[in-house]
Amino acid sequence: MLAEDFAVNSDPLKPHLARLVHIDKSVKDRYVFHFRFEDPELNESFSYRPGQFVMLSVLGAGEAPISLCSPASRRGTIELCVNRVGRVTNALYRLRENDLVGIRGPYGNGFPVEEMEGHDVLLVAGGIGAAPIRGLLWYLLDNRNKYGNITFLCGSRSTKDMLFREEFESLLNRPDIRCLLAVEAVPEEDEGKWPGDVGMVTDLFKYVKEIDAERTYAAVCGPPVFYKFVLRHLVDLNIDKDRILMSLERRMKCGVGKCAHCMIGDKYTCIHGPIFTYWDAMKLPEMI
Amino acid sequence: MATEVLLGQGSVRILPKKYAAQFYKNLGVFGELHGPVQVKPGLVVFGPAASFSDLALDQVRTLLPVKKYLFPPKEEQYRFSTREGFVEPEVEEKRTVLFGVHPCDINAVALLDRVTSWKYPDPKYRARRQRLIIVGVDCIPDEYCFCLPMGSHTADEGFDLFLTDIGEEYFVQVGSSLGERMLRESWDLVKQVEQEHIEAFHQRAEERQKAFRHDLDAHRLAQAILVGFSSPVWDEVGKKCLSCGSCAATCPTCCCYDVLDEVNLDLKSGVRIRRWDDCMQPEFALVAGGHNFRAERSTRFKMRFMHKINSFKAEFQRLGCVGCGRCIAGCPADINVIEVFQKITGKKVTSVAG
Amino acid sequence: MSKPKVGIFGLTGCAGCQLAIINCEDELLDIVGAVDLKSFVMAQSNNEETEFDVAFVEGSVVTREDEHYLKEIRSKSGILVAIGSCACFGGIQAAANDREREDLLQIVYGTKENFYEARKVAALHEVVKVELQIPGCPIEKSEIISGIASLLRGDTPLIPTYPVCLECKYKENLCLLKERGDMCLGPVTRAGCDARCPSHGVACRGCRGPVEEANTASEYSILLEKGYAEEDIKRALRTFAYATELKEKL
Repeated sequence: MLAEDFAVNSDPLKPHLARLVHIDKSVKDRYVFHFRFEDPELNESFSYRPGQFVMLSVLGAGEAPISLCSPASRRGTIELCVNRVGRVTNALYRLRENDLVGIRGPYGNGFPVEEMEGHDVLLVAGGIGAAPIRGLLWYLLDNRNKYGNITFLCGSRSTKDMLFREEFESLLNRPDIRCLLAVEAVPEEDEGKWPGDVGMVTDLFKYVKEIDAERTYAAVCGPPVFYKFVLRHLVDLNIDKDRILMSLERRMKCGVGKCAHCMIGDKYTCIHGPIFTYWDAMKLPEMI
Repeated sequence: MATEVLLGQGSVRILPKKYAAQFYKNLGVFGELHGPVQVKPGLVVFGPAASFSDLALDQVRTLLPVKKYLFPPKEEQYRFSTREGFVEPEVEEKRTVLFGVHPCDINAVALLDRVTSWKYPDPKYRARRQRLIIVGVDCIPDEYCFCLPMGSHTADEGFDLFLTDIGEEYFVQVGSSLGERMLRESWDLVKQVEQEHIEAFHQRAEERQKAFRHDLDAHRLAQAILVGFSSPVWDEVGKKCLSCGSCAATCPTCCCYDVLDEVNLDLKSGVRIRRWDDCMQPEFALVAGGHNFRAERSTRFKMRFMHKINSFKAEFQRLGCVGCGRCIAGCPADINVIEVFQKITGKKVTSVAG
Repeated sequence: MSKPKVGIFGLTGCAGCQLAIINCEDELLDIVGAVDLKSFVMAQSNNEETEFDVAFVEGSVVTREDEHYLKEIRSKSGILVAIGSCACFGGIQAAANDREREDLLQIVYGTKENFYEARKVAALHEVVKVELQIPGCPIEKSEIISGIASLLRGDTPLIPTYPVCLECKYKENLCLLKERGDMCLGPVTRAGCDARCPSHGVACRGCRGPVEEANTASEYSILLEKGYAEEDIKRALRTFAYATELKEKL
């Protein structure tokens, strides 16, 4: 018998049915899926922090961790930007609006938004990394008076591949945020229409020479190779390694600190992450 | 006659060995009797044992540890259908009395209890745990045992009753109120503890302690793994290791798992299966898209111990290795963890090959 | 949704995998009900020469005829599934792949007649593109059913990638390699058989083919240490999968 006993009211591993209400197919193989829980009460109460993730079940195909990209400050619909790469995500792409999936969560630490209050924030997103960063971005904008200067750098391969492109373009003229966008290539049909830069996301750092490193948090997310380049720029800007936040991706089977697939060194990505600092990355092996 | 009230002295008792068989039988009131059973030469497993004489109490280690009762190798996690969503399978209400569990295994269960209740409690484990009654028995170590340096040669918690062999008698410790009820069921068979029994108890402890042969410093392990992250020891082991998973399967604290959906031919329903996984498998840290964070066998081996030593120490304030020796006894490639621990902490290797 | 058109074919092999499908007695009607079985020469008459959404192919490529037949099936099929260890790794036919075809034909058929146009034995994927492999000798009933269900949904079937040892330990068998010194290939062989042979006290012979990361070198030296002759170990490791993965490591 266990010495300490506590009530087991709910099963954290049991997914709740959710309905696929909309699919935004703007970017090929990186659709944004919108879900609502079948249980209206849960749908109303489901809240999360930017940077957290859910475990998404496509019935019959399995379960996978997907980061939340909808603004945590707005409730009602969960948005997941899903890269079409594996068994579960491929099965998801076969679903149609009104089909049912299983969702449980939210999990993970999320961005330390309270700690970040009163600071300037530099957000850097590359490719699919725009998904979790977008959630944080809207959280900051919805709580605009709590944060200092907000600078948002976002890059993708081409205009066709830029996630949330319309949304991000609309930020270009917003006065309370400095939005800088870059694509590596502008296809013919977009020629003359692209308001951003042409180049790598790292090229955008030439515009952010003047930052107050002492009071800046950086939040970065992108593919593994992206970190190696972006981190160098952030270090050059003198931002403390403890205040460089990155969102990492790992294989997960539980999301709740049990299955151990997501371990990095002595840390569980699902519990201690998925948001880690650059300092964590320096200490822990095989982080990126 | 009114029941004698035992305040402050209800936790120890003496059971003469001549009554052990009857005592064992009486435990049957509390659940189905299980214990270590010799299946064939060299193979002992935990399994049903109706009478005391069925038990192989002199055995050092069973092939699978206690975890198989709490977390089966493969289990149905949920049934699912697009109509009903995810539904838990029926649970068995049966209780089991597991007799003859050694201190290392009891400590391992205590650790599993922590892992499975950490942050998000695992209801399936906990339901099974509540139906498992543990009666510990002490043991004399063999050449693969290293529970002493790992600090799990004695059990302070995690059992209902614990029996220490003091010659003609067992020294019985009670670890839970249920254990006290179990002792009550055999009240006529047990007697009060006298000073001589306590002396015999300590003598047995001394005798046991002397039987351990390996010099290890468990306190330095976590640090040594970090410092020795690029040590050649890992490559050495990586070359030998077959990634066969025997160590993880038989480890009493290994509880990593995999989850997969099996769909029925109607394509609308199916079962979600949870099965033991093994961190030595190449796919363990492979993410969708093809990047493998631990493609090398040596890095997987190292990670295995970072998890067991560093992570368990950080989260649960105890090491995830209890020194039961199963991974050594079962490794077809004769990888010896004692040797790995000694090498990584810069000690002289004392172990004999597995 | 129309049912997918399915064909089940056999190249050189024992036809045991096709038989394993027929042996899915309880589920056979469900399977036949879920697909449009256009061709299954071993089990039905009225087979159609048509296009297939999914083709299941058993056996390995041993003759020129096998090669032509396989290419023809490939050209007509959307998804080609190699079923059984012959189709996946070459099978027993490939065990003598290091010898000249001419010599082998003479040993078997003598010098007077030559019935076959033999070629070096190949697994299917060495000749044509193969979308999926379901190993086994023969394939497991459970994997046929779950494999078909997965394919019907559009998912890749889940075939264990871990070795037999894991399943063997789950069944609490005595380790035949370690405790009895048998030439057990469990550590380097794909699981999925529920450790059938070791559970009956018979050492694993590797019939489901090697795990992806098979540490053949270590298995080899373990067996050498136990006193087995080099040739015997090589022969054992080559039994089912010599056409493919193991070839380079021996």
